[in-house]
Amino acid sequence: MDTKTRDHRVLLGNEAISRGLVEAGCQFIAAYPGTPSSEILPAAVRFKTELDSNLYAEWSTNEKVALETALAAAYSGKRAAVAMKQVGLNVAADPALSSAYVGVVGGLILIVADDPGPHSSQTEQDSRLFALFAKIPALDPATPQEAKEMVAQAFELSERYQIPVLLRPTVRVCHSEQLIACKPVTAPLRTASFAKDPRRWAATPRARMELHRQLVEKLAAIEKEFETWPGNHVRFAGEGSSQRAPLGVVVAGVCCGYLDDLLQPLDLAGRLPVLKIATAYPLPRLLVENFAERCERLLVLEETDATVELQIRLPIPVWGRLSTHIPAYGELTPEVLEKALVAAAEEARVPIKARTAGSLRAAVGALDLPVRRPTLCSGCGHRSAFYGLRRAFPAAIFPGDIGCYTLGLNQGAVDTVHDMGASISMAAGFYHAHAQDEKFPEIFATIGDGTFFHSGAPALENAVYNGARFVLLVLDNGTTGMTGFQPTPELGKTADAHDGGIVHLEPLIKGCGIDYLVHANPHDLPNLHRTLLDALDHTRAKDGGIAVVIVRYPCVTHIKGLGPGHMAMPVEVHHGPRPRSPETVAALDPQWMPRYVDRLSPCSQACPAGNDIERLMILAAQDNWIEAAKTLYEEHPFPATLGRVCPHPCESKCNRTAYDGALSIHAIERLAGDHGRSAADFIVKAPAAGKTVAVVGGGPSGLAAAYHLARLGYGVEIFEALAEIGGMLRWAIMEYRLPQAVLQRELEVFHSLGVTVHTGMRLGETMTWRELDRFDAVYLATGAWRQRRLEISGEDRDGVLIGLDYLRRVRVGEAPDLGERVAVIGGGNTAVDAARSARRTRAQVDVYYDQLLAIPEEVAAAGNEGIVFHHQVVPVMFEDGEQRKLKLSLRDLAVEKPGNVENASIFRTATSEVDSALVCIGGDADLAYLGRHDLMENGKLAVDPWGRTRDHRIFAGGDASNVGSGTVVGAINTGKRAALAIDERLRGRKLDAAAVQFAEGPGVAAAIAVGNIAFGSSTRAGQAKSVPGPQAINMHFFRKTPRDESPRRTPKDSTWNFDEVDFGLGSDAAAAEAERCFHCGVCTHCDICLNVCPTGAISKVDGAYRIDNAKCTGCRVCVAECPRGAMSMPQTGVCIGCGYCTTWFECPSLIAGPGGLVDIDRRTCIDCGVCVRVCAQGAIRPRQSPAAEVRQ
Amino acid sequence: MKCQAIIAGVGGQGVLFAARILTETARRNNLPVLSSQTFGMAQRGGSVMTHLKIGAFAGSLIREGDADLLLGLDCVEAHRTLPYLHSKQAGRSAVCIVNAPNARAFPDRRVLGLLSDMGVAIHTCQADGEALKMHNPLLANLVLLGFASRREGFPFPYDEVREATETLSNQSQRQVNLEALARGLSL
Repeated sequence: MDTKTRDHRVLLGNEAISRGLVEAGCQFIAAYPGTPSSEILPAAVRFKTELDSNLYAEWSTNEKVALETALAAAYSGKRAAVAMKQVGLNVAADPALSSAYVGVVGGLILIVADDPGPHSSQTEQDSRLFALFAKIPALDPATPQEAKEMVAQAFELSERYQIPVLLRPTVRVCHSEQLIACKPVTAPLRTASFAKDPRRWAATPRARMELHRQLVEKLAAIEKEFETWPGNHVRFAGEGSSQRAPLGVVVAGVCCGYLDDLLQPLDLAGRLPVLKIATAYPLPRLLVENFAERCERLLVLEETDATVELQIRLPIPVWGRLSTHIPAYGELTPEVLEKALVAAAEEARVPIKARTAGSLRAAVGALDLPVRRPTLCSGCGHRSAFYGLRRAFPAAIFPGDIGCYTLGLNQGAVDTVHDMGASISMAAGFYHAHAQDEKFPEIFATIGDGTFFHSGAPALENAVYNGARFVLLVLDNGTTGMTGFQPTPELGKTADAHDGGIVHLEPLIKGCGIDYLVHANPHDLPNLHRTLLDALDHTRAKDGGIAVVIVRYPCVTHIKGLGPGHMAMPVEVHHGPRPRSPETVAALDPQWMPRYVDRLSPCSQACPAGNDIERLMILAAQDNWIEAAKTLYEEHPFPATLGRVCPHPCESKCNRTAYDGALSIHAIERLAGDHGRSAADFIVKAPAAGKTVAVVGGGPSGLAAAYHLARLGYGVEIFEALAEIGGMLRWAIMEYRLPQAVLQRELEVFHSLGVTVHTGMRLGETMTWRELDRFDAVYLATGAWRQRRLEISGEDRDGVLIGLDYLRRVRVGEAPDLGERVAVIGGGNTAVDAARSARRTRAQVDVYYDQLLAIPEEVAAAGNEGIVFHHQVVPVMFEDGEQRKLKLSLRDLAVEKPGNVENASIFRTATSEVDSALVCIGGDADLAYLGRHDLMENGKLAVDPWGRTRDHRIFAGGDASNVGSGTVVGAINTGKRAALAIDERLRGRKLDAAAVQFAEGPGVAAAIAVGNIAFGSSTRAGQAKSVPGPQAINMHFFRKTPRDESPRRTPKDSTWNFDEVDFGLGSDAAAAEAERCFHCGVCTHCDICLNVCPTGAISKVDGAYRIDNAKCTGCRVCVAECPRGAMSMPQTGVCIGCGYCTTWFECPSLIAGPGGLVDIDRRTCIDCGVCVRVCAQGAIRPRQSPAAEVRQ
Repeated sequence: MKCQAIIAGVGGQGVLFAARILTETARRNNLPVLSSQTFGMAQRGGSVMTHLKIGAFAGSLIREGDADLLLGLDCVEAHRTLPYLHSKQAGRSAVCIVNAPNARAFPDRRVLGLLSDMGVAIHTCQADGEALKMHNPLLANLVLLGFASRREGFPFPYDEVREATETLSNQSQRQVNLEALARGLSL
């Protein structure tokens, strides 16, 4: 490359200015990025290296700071510059105005880039007017070349008059490229020398007036110098003519070039006097007056406002922006300038060659081309943040800020954009303005990391100090994205890539007084949603305040790809026959419309007693315990009892289990039972059926059957072998788990129902079958009372007792003395009860068992009480003991398991000496009373799931039958089913088919809501088809709140007495616990569907949702967003052109084609995969084909 | 020589780089050059347009109806900037070279008549498709430049464009950039 070409380079205007700075010996530059000024500082850093200058360059945190920093350098004698965009000068206004008075030693240039148009700014302000206001001389370059030349001139001027100088390029200078002559550094570099002069550098108001006087003198001298400034020149027309030209043009800045290029085509070349002004302030008035003497009128062409025009005070007409000859706003493009010039020439009767407008513009206008608005880049974290924000809080107020993320307004998640940092101050203002009226709208402010450093922090301090409450999202992408990836203070790298200090956002934010600071990954939409909900909670909490969420994801354009740990997910849009389109809904199959469905919650499905648990939770949360009890009484008479003894299979199916712990349904049922009045208060009885049913056995199954049969209108008589009804509830479960008073109260309902109870009636012993002949049907629920034996040697020894017998004797107060050491054999609930009862006699108790089947809470409680459990250790022999009555030989089954065969020889055979042993290994049905074998199978009553035996008059259930499960709740289930079957038989009507299918379906022993089925409606039956599992729930809508367990007596308090151990939940705690319910599959009128609907198709009429088919686009977002799976509409799996993704996610890689059908633009897609979550129709899916394309 | 060219596209398509190659080519010919670029907000996927004036000009913007050449990296943006083209003057036709998925995509038939009346020469090329073949959609700008360089009305010959591209490309991209240019030439 020859010397000549090296000395002439194509440089951007901003680069030309930088070149000028370094050549002129500028040693200090501070800037804040902002279009159109951003390229100045990086170019200066490049030229510094090339020209071996010692230039200090910094990206300051804001323009005010930049100017103050550079001022000190200028005080020290260095040549210094600051660079910023025009609105940046507003931020730096305070030091700028003062600097005119105080002045400088070394030259100081304020490079302020204006943006007529505006292309990338909030205002079209004219910084030359600011110079006039601040009394700082202003230079107005026309081209990059001139801008470069002006830099050296400005330094000299600045130093000559000890005054800062404004260099004001406009966007078409900054962002124009031109061939520029480049030179080496021409001015010597200086060493810093600060001369103390407090009367100047720290001037008091009195001294300021003197400085002002000096400033006025300086400006007068500068004006004089400008009269002969080389950049100001006159080009007269018709040189020598004494006649005044009808029109002369005064032109400044970028307009000069447009004018020059227009003269030829308009045939004005050589005929129009032109005065070019490069020194916009102070205007060289003599030069203008001399020019004006040759003209009848002047036309002033300048950007952006009327700075030159305002300074011209002449007796002849001066046309310009003030006279409306030039538009008062918008950029003066060649076309605008041409139009104004032609009009002025015609008005001044200057012959001009005007063009006739071509018709192409109109034709192109008629094409109605889509407006290509700027959008966030594909894969940008900001997009997901705004999408998530807007989707979660469609009605919130969104104060926004300045940066790439201003574009969140495209997604409806930015409501205000004012100036740097205003998001935070305005969020505070919105809060206070509403709070004054006792209104508390959701307020979510968004600000970028760079902007937060710029001016967010002071606003945040203020907001904290004044007690505002809102959520602030700091969108941290690790760079200054919009202006070209300048580093932020978080990075620790300075403008010229040297190590600087690091300022982390977190301590800065906390230092502003923020206690609540959390992080979120914007692309993890569910988690973002949850995080924002929690943050909002903090703003609403009693001791809450401002919540800050740092939403962090690196700028994908800066790092050229996805963030660390983000796996690429190439996607494709599926197309095919559309079952519906956004518009044609009227004639459609309703399945392609969203609809509300009430589904059966998994807890209700799991409840063998058929409790409507979801409804119970609604009522409990409302503290409406009476209604809650009524709901339970619909299904069985024992809520207080079951709330104590049930193994609660409902809780293991609770969808919250894996999220934050299952609901304490058990405790809530108990409280409803304890709070409620007697079932008798609510019971609706069917009219008398005129038929009678005998129930043999007064345990849970028999009682459940009797309860429902009585409600169905039958005359019911219970025959109980023992002295009182209650069965195992009374005889096997002790006071510390189920106080007798509780059971007794619940049993009173049978009296109210008119059920006759015969006690001491044991079929086959104290009564005969004949006595049952008078009944239309008989229900046998005689239980499994014949206790099993261990069948081992020594079992008949004194001291070996049947556990159930022991418990019965404890219950009646005739407990035998068990001695100091007791062994309990068995792992069921009876064993644990026997052990705990024995422990209450202060015995040392060991439990030996093969399998542990008891309720885990009770086992834990027993353990806490000091009972020792021996897993898989069983007795093999009882002998006489040496110290105590019995010696047990024990065997460890664990080492006998397959795989341990080789170790068979080491079967541990231990012995233990005890005073007594309680055998609790379960019982069998004693069916001797039957007197026939045709109703039996495997020693049990053989029944179908509805309790029907082969004898059409005899039904059976509970543990005496093959449908018994050994639990109270299972027994209740069998009694309830049998009641329905008996009703069916006696009335000669069929059980509701849906109900039968429902009750016999997999796992749905539940919810045989007698009330619903037998009294007319079986709505819950239909629900059972789709029980929503955890995947049907949008868990992120729900606050994580730990499960509340009911308090229990401490082992110290409970071990030595029979008082109830479990206190149960208090009503406040229970209501709060019920609040946790997801209400799986059941609409709670939460309005989320209504709020997320992008077209307002969902409305609420008289408390019910209505979907307007004409407005529904089929996007299915309502269904996807329902927190609890209570809406339904199958996914089409193909794009239907609903426009949801293109409107609200607004990714440039989602291109809508004909019919609004969307395709992926693979030119721009970076495989972030987030749109898969956005499309609720399942049309956007991970690409199946192998990733053929390798991204470079 | 004088040539006024518009390069139109969407932010991110490499309009700036294409323009830089042409200004560099002009510089190597010792021709004065002025260009005006779009920076800032519009670079984020908005409409982007470069005005490029080679020869003795004073202002950096082209007046509507004065452009000799339109390079369109995108059909919509090419349509939008059509009014910058001039009518046939002194025997010189304006030239319009556009990256289009197919010949039907440009120009819209509603402006076709006007463009032929004006004598505008129109060429379309599937630069996107060619760039995708190279597994890098961002190379479409160079494919289009290569294609344009053998059309009448384009200011510089292919070899000069190639040299300028070589100079301006950074080391890691140089080979693929030159290949894209060459592929464009052969389209």
